[in-house]
Amino acid sequence: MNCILLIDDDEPTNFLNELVIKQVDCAEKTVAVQSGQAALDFLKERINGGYPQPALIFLDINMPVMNGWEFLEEYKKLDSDQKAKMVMVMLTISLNPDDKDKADTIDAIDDFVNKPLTAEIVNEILNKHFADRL
Amino acid sequence: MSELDKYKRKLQKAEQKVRILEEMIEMRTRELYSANVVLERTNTELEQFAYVASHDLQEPLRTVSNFVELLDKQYKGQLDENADRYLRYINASTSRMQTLIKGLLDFSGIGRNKELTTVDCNAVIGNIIADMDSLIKEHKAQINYTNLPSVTAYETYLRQLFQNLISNGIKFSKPSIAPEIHISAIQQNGKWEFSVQDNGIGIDPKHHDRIFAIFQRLHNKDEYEGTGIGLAHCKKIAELHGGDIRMESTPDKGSTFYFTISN
Repeated sequence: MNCILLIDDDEPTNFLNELVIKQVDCAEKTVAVQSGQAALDFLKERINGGYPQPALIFLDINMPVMNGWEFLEEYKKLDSDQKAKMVMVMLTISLNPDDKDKADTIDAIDDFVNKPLTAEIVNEILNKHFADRL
Repeated sequence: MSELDKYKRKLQKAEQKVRILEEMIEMRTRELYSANVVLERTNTELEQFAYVASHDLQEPLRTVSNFVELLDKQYKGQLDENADRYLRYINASTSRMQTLIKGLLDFSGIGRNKELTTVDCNAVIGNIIADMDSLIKEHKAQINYTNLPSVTAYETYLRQLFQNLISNGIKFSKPSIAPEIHISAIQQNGKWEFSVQDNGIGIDPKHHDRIFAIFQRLHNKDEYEGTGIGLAHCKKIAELHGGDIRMESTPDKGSTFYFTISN
């Protein structure tokens, strides 16, 4: 796939996830940002006449300033050619029931994964959601 | 039936009603008492849990950070660039966890002297300023206060409250503008209302309702360090003193925190 976007305020977590994605070698480019705003800026910036439109976004929920839910609110407003093919929400521990209910009402979320990412998790996502492109 | 009998009957009925009411009150009292016993026990258990968790967590954490320090001292530069970066991440994460645990310990108020005494707030602020001397000098901060009252309070808690608000005022100052903090108090409805005013970056109104929630942070770690415990702790302390805490703020102008203490 063209590009994977990682959104997490914790730099070591971003680094670790980037390392795993490189190891699996499934994306031409991996971009890691430390805030929801930086992610929006990235998605909205034209490069060589087009938007980066990553195939996959990994999103952390618990972030300061703009948390994952607030990011998704803003993300919804983007033009369709600025959005990613797929959004995965990353979790440290499983969702509490309130968050689960909230997550079910948000269309933009395609799936949930545990963090940090591992090669197994990434491969599973590839098989499940990107099988046609392998 | 004679008039007298009528009255006797009425009196009997009334007495019966009183007895029923008395029984109901007694039952409610007993219920409340046992509910209180349960609450007290739960509270003690929670305190113990927090104590054990944080103490037992601290030990392995300290071991990790000690060994990382050793690795760093003895092998830095001998490994490759990646290894140095990994060590840096481990160091940053362990010290963040240490700060978090310490914050949680403070928040749960374990091992604190819980005794109400007459506390001279001028002396409290004076002590805080002496303690924070290096931070204050580093930021060229000015802390003004005059004629603060003496209040009946839990001294260590009250001190923590003031200290959190003052250190926030210094931490969230505007770049290139020296922090100025004014502390004052007025008497209102039988309570003392204290205000701690700063000239810092202020807080966006859309965040005003969540700043007192625990673990709520408004900034990335690399902008402003923090655990998200400080203001939640302040709220808890104000409530412990029969008061409350609130704030007024204009972004880019500064914030004022108001809290009350029962007289």
